[in-house]
Formats: sequence, structure tokens, C-alpha cells
Amino acid sequence: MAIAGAGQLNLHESPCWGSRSVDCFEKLEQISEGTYGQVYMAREIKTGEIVALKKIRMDNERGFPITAIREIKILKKLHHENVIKLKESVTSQGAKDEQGRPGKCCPIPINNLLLGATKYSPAVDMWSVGCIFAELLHGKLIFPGKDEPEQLNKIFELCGAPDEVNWPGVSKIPWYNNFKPTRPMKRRLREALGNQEKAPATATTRRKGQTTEITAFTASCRLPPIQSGQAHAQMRPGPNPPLHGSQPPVAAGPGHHHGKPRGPAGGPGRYPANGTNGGFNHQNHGGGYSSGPYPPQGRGAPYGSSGMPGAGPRGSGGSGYGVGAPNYSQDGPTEVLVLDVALT
Amino acid sequence: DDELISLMSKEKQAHVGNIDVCSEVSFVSARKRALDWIFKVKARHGFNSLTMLLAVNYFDRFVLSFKFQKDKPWMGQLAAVACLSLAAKVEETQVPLLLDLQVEEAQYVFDSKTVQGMELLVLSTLQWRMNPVTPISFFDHITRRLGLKTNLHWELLY
Repeated sequence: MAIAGAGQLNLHESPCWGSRSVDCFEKLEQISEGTYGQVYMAREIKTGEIVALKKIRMDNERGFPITAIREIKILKKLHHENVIKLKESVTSQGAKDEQGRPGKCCPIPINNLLLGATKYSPAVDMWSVGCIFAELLHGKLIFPGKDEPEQLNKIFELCGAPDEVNWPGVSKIPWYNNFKPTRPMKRRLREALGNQEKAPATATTRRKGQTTEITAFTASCRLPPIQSGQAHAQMRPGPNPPLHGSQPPVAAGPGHHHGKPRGPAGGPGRYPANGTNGGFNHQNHGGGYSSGPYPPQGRGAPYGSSGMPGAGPRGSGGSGYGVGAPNYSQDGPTEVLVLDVALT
Repeated sequence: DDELISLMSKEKQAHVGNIDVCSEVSFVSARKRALDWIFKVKARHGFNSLTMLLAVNYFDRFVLSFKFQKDKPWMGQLAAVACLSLAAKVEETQVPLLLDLQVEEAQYVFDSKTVQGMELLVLSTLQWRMNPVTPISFFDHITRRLGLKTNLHWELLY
């Protein structure tokens, strides 16, 4: 056994360091901050192009963050005018942190872990998917909290307050007692979203699909503390995944007890509307993409064929998914970025 | 069959400037050691086949485009760890910690920071292209052609 130190790597001498440096960009202002890092509005010095620059925080125990890898993977597969396009990944000096550079619209972090929980899990993804559907349907943010308490409150108002009955183990989550609502709150999701008269642009064009979307939303919010195998099947469509502009299939049978309020982050307050480039403006539904159609660059055929249910051992069999008693650290609320899909 | 054509053209693009993996003796032995280790860890952690394919793909692309520092015998192992770690992050639900990944009589054990540095080097060297066409990419097409529908069929394939 031998331990090799980081100093021996000489990363900077490498002639093949393939990424550009973040110095190619000039940061203009911070747009948002999350536990994943910060997002800046920036200008590419050479071209003057305005982009969103997302700084990714490194996790030393796990190396390059899996959430960033997944985000890059997903963004590269999605080609839709309402989904942010990943333009480039750049590195900053010292290679300590690494920056993704999406461009041309404002990202909405759909979901961060709340309540001091730190365990990223498939259940969190399910919640995120539900939030995305709800926002598509609703035409705006569904939990526009400025900060964590406000956001939790908005979630509780809509989804009902979590307690040991609907979410066994919730009282053991670090900050539960600080944030639990003082009065009982009923779930009124269906009432609030079930009869959408004023549908957003995306839904209006496909009115027929609306019922499906509502169902999908409700279902995804009701996913039980699933085993990883199941979760995987949900998240990985089988053959021919309908990724291009259509909804990911989220199917769940009825009768599951409902899921976990892992609140989304973000809200109008966190992203000051900024009309300078037509991109950073929440109110501007459908109008923010003045720059023409997206080039099909980087587009590859889907290859998501490995995720067949039961295709080999996966995961640890639904032990802790942040549901019952999640593995959270005692050091306080390290939040984890879950999904960062942009909707306008 | 558009899908098939697109897969093949993507694959062809990736192979532009193809170099024979077996052209250099020092590569051959380093590659064999690295791949043997990757296969063992794959079995140990129960990773799926695509993860393994990706790890090997990253490894080959990396060592071919990166000047292998031959005076550093641990380099191959470090590259293998980083490639497998990245592949697992791309493909697996549960990903072990970097230290837990380094099992199966790894010749060297690297601290997390070192592996992270190598991960970044691999990512940039591969220009962040982490989803290459693999043999598994063609499975969807083949199964549809063959009309395989039941789970049993799928299990046979995998």
C-alpha cells in the first residue's frame, strides 16, 4: 500500500487540460446561491455573450459531486426550449472548484434538501419531478419562499404538514422541531392544482395532456419510501425514453402514502428580474428565448437502456432514503443540490 | 432506423483519430492491471454493466489523450479509480465513498483529494463527454427488432 499525495499529480502542467478557464468570463452579479454553490450572471469576455455561470462546490470525501455529474448528463440529453442548455464546463484556477456554464435563461433550483436533512436520494428526485410538473401546470413557482422557513411554510400549506402519521420518522429530522407548523394544516393539493383554468403556455398547447400531467404530479408526490430498484425504474424510462420535449413518465399506482416535503428552493425574490438580455426574467413566459432555435449540437441518441427493472443488483434496498431516519450529519444543514431545471 | 444511424454516426465521431490501444507495451500492462481491478470492484459493489463499460471507455480515452507519466507507476491505478468513480456517478444509484471504492487489493490507495483532482483531469481531458456510445446503446434497437418484451428476455440480455 502506498499513499500518493495530491501534489504529485501536477495537474496544471498537463498539456491536455481540456477545459477553458473561468477567467474567460467576467462575473457581473450573483443571481442566486444554494448549497451546491453560486450562480452568477457573467459575460464571456471574448464574445460579450451573457451567460449564467454556476459554481460547483467540491465535496472532498466523494470527489466531484454526483449531483453535478447527473445535472450535466441530464442537461446534455434534454433539448427543449424551456430547458436550460448547458454550453460549456470551465475550471477555475487551482482546479479546486469547477464551473458549469449554462446559458440563456434563468435557472430555477427546483429542490434543495430542507429541514437539515443531508441525504440526497431517489425520493428527493421524485419530489423534484412533482414540483416541475406542478410548475408547468401552474405556470409559476409553486413554493416561492424567500428563505427556508417561508418555503417550508408554503409547502405545508399546499401539501399539508408532515407528522409521524403521514411521514414516519419526520420528527427525527434535525430541524423538524424548529420548523413544524404550530397549527394543523391540511393537504389541499388537488383543490389548488386540480382545476387549473389558467394554464401556462406549455400546457395550453396540449390541453389534452393536462389530465395526465395532473395525475402524474399527484402520483409523484405520493411515492412511498421506495426501494432503489423501483425508484430507478421510475426515473429511467425503458426503451425509447421520450426525452425530447415530452414529459418523463412518472407512474405510480394509487394507494401509496404520500411523500416527503423536501422543499424546493428559489422564488422570485431570489432571482431579481433582469431584462437586459431577455433571459433573466421570470415573468416573461415564452418570451425569453429571443435568440432563435437551439442548435442540435451535442445531441446524441438516447442510450438509457440499462435501467431495466430487475437487471442486476442495485442500491442498498431502501434503507435510508432520507425517509425514516435519514443519515444526516451532525454538523448542521449541509444542503445538496438536487435538480436544477430551468423553466420560464 | 434514424436512431441507429444517429448512434453509428456518433460512434464514428468518437473514433476519429482512433489509436490502437495495444500499440505500446507499457500501456498494455497498465491497462490490463487497471481493467482487472475495475472488473473486481464492479463485482464487489454490484455495479451494473454499463458502469463498467463507461469506466473502461473513460480509461482508454484518457490514457490515449493524456501523456501517461511513465515514471509514476501509480498513475494507471489512480486513473482507474477516477474513471470508475465517475462512471458510477454517471450510472449508479448508490455510489460508494472514494475510499470505499478502493477495495479488492488495490495496489495503491489514494486520498479523496487526489482522486478528486484526477476526476477533474479526466473530465476535462474527455471534454466532459461522459455518455459515449457503448454496445449497450444498441440494445434498445436490437430488442425492439427482435420483439423482446418480457422481463425474462431482458434478463437474458443482461
